[in-house]
Amino acid sequence: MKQRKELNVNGKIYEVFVEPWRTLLEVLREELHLTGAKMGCDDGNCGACTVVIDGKAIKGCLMLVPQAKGKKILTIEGLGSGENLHPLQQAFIDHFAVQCGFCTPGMIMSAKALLDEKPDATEEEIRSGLQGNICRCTGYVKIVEAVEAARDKLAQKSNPL
Amino acid sequence: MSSNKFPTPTSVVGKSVPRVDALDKVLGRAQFTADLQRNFPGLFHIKVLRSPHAHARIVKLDTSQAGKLPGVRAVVTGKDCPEKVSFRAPRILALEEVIWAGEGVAAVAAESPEIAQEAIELIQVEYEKLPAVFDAEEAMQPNPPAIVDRLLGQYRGSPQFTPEAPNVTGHFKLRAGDVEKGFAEADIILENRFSTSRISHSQLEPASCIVRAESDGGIITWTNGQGVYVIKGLISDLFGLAVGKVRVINPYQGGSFGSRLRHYVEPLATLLALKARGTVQFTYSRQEMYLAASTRLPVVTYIKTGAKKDGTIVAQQMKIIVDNGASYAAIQDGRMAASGAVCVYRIANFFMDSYGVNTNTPWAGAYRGLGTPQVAWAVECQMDMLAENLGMSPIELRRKNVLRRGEKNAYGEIIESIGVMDCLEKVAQEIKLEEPCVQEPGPWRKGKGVAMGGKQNTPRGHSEAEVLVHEDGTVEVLYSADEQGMGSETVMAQIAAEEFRIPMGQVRVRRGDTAITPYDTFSASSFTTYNTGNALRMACQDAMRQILQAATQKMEAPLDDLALVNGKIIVKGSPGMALADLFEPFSIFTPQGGASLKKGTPVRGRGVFAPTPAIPWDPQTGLTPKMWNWYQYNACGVELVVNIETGEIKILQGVFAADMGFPINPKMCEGQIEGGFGMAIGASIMEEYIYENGLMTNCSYGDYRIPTFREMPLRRNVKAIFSPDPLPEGPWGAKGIGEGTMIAVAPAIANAVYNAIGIRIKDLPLSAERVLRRIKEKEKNDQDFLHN
Amino acid sequence: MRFDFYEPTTIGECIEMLTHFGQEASLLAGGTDLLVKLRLRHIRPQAVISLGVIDELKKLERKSDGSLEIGAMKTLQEVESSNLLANEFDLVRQGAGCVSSIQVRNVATLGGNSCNASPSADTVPALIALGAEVQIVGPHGERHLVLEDFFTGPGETVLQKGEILTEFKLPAPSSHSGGTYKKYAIRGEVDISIVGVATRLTLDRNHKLQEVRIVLGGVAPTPNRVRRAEDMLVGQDPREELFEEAAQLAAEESRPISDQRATAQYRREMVKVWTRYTLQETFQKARQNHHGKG
Repeated sequence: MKQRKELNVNGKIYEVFVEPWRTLLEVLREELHLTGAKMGCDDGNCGACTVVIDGKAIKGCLMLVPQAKGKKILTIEGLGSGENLHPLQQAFIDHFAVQCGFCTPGMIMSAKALLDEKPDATEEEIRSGLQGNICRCTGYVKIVEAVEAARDKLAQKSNPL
Repeated sequence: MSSNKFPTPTSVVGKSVPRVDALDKVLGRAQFTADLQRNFPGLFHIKVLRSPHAHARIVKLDTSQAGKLPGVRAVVTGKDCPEKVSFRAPRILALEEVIWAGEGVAAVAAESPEIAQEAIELIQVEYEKLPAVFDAEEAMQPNPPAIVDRLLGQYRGSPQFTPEAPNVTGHFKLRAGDVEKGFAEADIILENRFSTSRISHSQLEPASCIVRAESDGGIITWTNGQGVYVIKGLISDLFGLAVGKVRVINPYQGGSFGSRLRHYVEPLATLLALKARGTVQFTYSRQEMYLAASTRLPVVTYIKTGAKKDGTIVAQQMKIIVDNGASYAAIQDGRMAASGAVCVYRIANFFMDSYGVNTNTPWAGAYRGLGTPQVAWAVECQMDMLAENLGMSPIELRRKNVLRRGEKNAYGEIIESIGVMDCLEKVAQEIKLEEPCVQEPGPWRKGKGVAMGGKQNTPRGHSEAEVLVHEDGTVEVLYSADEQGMGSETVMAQIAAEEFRIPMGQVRVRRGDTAITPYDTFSASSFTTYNTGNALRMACQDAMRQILQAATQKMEAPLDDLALVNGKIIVKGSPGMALADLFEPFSIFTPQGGASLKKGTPVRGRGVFAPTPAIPWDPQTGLTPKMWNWYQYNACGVELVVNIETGEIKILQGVFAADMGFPINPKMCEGQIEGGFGMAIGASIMEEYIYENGLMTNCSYGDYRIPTFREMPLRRNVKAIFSPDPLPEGPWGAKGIGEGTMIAVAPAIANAVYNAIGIRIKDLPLSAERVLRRIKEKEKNDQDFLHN
Repeated sequence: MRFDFYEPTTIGECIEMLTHFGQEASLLAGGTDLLVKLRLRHIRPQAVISLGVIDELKKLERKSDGSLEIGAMKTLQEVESSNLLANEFDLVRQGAGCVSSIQVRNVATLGGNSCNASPSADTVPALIALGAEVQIVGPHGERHLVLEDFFTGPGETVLQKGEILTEFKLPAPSSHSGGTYKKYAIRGEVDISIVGVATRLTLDRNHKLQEVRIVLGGVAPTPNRVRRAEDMLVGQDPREELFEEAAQLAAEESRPISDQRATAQYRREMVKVWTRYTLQETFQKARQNHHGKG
């Protein structure tokens, strides 16, 4: 039943030996010990398990591990390190967009895919682009603020004037 | 503690320093309970078989097939559970009868979640359906259609339990002044009935724990339940384990809002860990979070208010019915909820009966305000209706009746900190309440509304804290209150940094491990900053005293002339010395005892804070000079639009003012306000349990509608205002903020809906369906009126 | 959930496997619905057959006759953002764009949204309004039918043992037409629709309504056209009261049920409201297209 699968996660190739019915989320958490992506509902509604695959945000609980074969998977662990935070991570800290923190990794990964696709996303576009991620603590106000701040920071970086 | 009434903070207290947990959380490195499972190879996984019936007798329960399935380690039913029932937790598994749809009947621990699930499906159970009661008003009658729990009175040993009303769990009476006389003097009397729906906390992280049975018969539990010492006590008590052999560790908690105050995963996991003699993990599915976790108490409030023409309220009579659901443990006597009606207005003649009632519905308990928002919902809608009847502005009416500092409330307490009216004035001004809304063509009608409220703080238990001051000036803070996201770790770090005048980076917080951190209850009643914060200040000052004591000898200066500032001992009129120089290196020639400080040995400071206790109230009148501790206050103003064709409500603008006492971290206070506002939008316009024969049918994040980004106003249209009335005994004058932030929102929304479409809705939520139904009724009534 | 996983690379190979497993197999397109059903144990297949690496199912082509062919495995996000689907076919983009969240649309497919046969699938009313045909391939060859006839009940389709839906064919639309899909749900796209309405109007030379399609989702066992409302409008001069009347007829023709998302009564009322909204908007679009193209 178990099958050998290769997964490309955060630029590293991992070989795992898993049953095909395991979800990508389960395998990231249980086999690769990348527990940044969270399981909040396991039915695709909360977005806490969001990771980026080939540049697109997906919900890890809605993808079987064989479906991720040959794709580049980016998780929160691959986004930035303590010394070198991604502007979104820095903005989430600076703008108090984090409370309990359970939605945070998924929220940041969704925002990352959104800003990659739409570097000049408006508040409306941010709100609708992140609607698949639920937060119960913040009322979303400071999350929007943080994503807008990261957007502006990233724009500065690409046009250093 | 310092003798100054409000010592001025000089370093980090009062500043919006970044959260100490934020870095780990944005990196995905913060550890939540389920993240620890990877550390336990051979872990057993628990699944539970749950009742589909709201009330039924278990005729047959056969687990033999499940037990034989390869990979199954242990199977338990109600018969395996300890006989003891705790006030702190629901019954572990049903015994003879199931009393709500969702109650656990049997449970399995197996090598994988799949095997556990398959085993559950092999359990054969036969039910005989019994009459069920879902409505609290029916349930509280002398001859109810069903008795939710025949053993209730026996289990509880409650003096309030009466066989005549077998579903009533408690009754709080308030008899202040002379209500008959008050009504006789009134120029106007207004009577209404209000209700709120059952709602779910829906915190993002499901309840989860890992329990390891140790070889010596003890256990270690990692859990996201609240209050490590409370869980330690609960588990040792339920299972008769030696207290010293139960260790509870608390990783980060992914939200709670009161949900985790009752412990619904730890007891069953402990039972199975002991039976399996191994390590088990039990994590609720999202569906179980709706069916078998805590919920918010639905409340029905009857309110009759008498007022003079000038707006003075001369009498109020209330009947409050608090629905506990099928609760063995989380018993309400109605007193908590009732407080929502007492703490804001000056009502000399007040007659109130508040009841706790059991029904065959999912059990209910604490939820961001513990009943007070549900009662304030009635009071604040009533105030607007009264204002309209009197031809007064809602602000003026409230101004006339609001309690002021130094006055007595209806319990007889003297109020020492109340900023509620300032909150309301600021909100009304910000939202421009006096300016009428400009209507636009189309189906959307605009309206504005305001409301205010308060929440009592329970003087519960006591809190301890410790600090370890190291020779290099770094400080470790040890405490056991929770971090469910509200920022307690940051507040504690700020307090220590302030006391020692050191940068935040030199403080490390260690939290929530009964083998390491000192006693605390749990984070409830918005008291962590106040209780644990006060204890921590004492701990810091205790360590400081020890250090300065040691310095008196070295520096030959009296204690009063010394101070420790940022790692340096400062003496009046001398250059001072480094803290490190106080710590003596080890040598066989130095005396090792005595008052001197030793290298490598931190100075340990300890603080214990216990709030001033309540004074027992007269059970016949509810009167006492001290029912609670202090009150936080708030007000909310909203501008919204109502679609008269679909019934939808969109919140355009929200202004919220809070009196939380002195804000230790203003941005985090803002976060509490915005979060409470968002949560309250859900409770006000969308959230409710939908049932079929008592079984909840919308038990997922897809169908139980909590707010998304879309339901919030644009960020520039959400405004948080601070209007603190500092509390003398709070740390730097701080009170608390977490629970107050929902209270005023629902009535402000209902008042705004009335302003928009002239329809008064008295039942929550103001769902699109309910609003549209009322619009259609009104259209029909208006037509009938025209035709008659 | 336990099953064997298969990943055929051609349609032929896939059909062989499907024929072999029969009822014991489930097809995996994007999986966003299938995984939830598997986890809730609503289905317990022995085999899951993935369509993920069959390139034939991923085409998107405009034919010389102006018609369009969309492979069943095109993701909703690809459909939503495709320029080939702009203008006349925009209805499909609107439908695809309001399914769930972006994370789901990045994976979920147009074919899956139909084959799942949910009464409230958001792309289906839009496709039906455009007259979409589906191509079905099975052990006995190909067959074609209009999408409206594809559904037989909630979760049920005409697919026989060994058959798969391979592509959608959208006929070239008239240039004097417009189309709108509107989803009504309490929290917008992340909710399952309470009602979905697709309308398409084609104007004749004299600005009369030549062709009318009104398709409802979420208010009957399958998404379906409301023909009495359509017929009432054909040949008429478009005007506000007429749309209101059609909306009323649509509401009468709908067969909603009460569930955890809405009561039948509310759904019927919403059919009335949203049919009117979409007709108004569609008419504006059709008129603009008419003017724009003479």
